Amino acid sequence: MNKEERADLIDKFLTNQLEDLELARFQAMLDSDPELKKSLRLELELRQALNEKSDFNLFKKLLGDTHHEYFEESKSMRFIVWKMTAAVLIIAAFSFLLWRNSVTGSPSYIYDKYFEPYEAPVNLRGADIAGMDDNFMLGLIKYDKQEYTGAITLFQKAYEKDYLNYTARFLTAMAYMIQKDFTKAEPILKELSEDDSHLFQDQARWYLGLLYLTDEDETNNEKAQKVWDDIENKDILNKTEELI
Amino acid sequence: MLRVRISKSLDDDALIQGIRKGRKRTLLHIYKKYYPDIRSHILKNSGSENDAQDVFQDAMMAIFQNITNKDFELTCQYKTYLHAVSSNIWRKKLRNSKDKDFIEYEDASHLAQEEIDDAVLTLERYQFYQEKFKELSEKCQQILKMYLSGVHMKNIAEHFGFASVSQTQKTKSTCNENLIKLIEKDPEYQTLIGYE
Repeated sequence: MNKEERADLIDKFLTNQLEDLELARFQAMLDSDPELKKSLRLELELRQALNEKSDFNLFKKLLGDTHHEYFEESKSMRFIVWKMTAAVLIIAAFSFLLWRNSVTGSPSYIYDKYFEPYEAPVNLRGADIAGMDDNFMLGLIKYDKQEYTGAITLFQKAYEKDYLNYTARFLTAMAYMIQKDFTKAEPILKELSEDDSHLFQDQARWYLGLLYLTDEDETNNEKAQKVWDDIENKDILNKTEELI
Repeated sequence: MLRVRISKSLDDDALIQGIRKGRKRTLLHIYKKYYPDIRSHILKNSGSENDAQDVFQDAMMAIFQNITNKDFELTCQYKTYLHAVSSNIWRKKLRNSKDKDFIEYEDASHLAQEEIDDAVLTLERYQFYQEKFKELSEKCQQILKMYLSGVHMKNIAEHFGFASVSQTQKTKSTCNENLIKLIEKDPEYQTLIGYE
C-alpha cells in the first residue's frame, strides 16, 4: 500500500466510511502494518492538535481564560493591597504627626523635658550653719529628701521670720513647681524675677517662663518670651533659645 | 442579606475530576494553590516570571492529556505530580543552557520518569504539529481547519470556489500530505515520537 492509499484508507476510517468488512480488514491491517498504525496515530494526534473543537484545544482555551482571570485577579488584589497599605501608611503618618505635635508642643512635654529642679545647697559650711534658721535648715534637708510638702512649710516659716531669705522663697517656688502646683509657684517666681536684690533673678525668670509654657493657656507663651528677654545669664539664655 | 462564600479545599480526586471535565473553578483553584510554588521554583532555577507562567500552562496541558487517557491513575499527590511535570518541562527548556544548574523538587524525584516524559512528549508533539501547520499556505490552513471542524466538503467547495467536491477532496488530501511531509522530514519529530 502506498502513502496515498494509506491516507485515503485512514481518512475513510476516521470519517466512518468503511463498511463492516472493510473495517474488519482495516483493524487486521493495523496489527500487521506498523506504518499504517504509525500513520493512524499521527492523523489522530493531528486532529486533536489542529481541530479547534478538540478536547485539547478546548481545554487550552479554558486554561488560557483561567490563566488570564487568575493574573487579573492577582493584579487587582495587589492593587487593593497596595491601596490599603498606602491608606494605612497615610493614616499612620498623619496620626504620628498629630501625636508628635500634641506631645512635643504640649505643656506636659515641655515640663517633662525642660524642668530640672533646682538643687538645694545642703553642703553648708560650719559658719553658715551656725547662723542659720532652724526651719530653713530642716527645710533644706526635707527638700533634699524630696519631701516637698514639709519643705514648703519650713521654708515659709523661715521666710516669715526673715523676708530677705530669698533662698527659702526661691526653694518654696521650686517645691511648688516640682509638685506641679503652678498657681502657687507663679506669684513667688514673678516676685523674685522682678526683684534685682538677690542672686536668683535669672533663675526665677527661667522657671517663670517655663511655668508659662507649661500652662495650658497658650496666650501665656508671649509672657514667657517677655520674661526670658530680660535674662542676662548666658547659660540660661541658651536654654531658652531651645524653646523659643 | 449577607452572603458568605465558602472556599472549600478540593482533594486530589476532585482536582483530577475537575481537570478531566474542564471545570474552570477547579483550574482557578489549582492556579491559586500551586502557581506560587511553581513560580518560586522556576525563579530559583534561572527562569523569569514569564517562564514560570509558560511552564505552569504547559504542565497543566500535559497533565490534562495524561488524565484524559483511560489508563491514567494518580499514584502520588497531585502537587507532587505537578512538580514532576513542571520540573521536566523546565529542565528540557534549560537543556541548551549548560551553565545553568537545575535544582529538582525533592518530592518529585521518586516518580517514574517514563510516565512524566510521555505526558510532556505528547504535549510537545501537539505544539510541534501546530508550528508545522503554520508553515502551510494560508489556503491549505483554512481548508484543513474547516475540514477538521466538521464543515462539509460541499460547503468548503463553495467557500473556495472549487469546481467539485472531488476537487476539494483532492486539494484537502494534498494539503494534509504536505503537512505530514513537513512533520516527518523534521528530525525533531523522530525525537518526539521516541524514535531517536
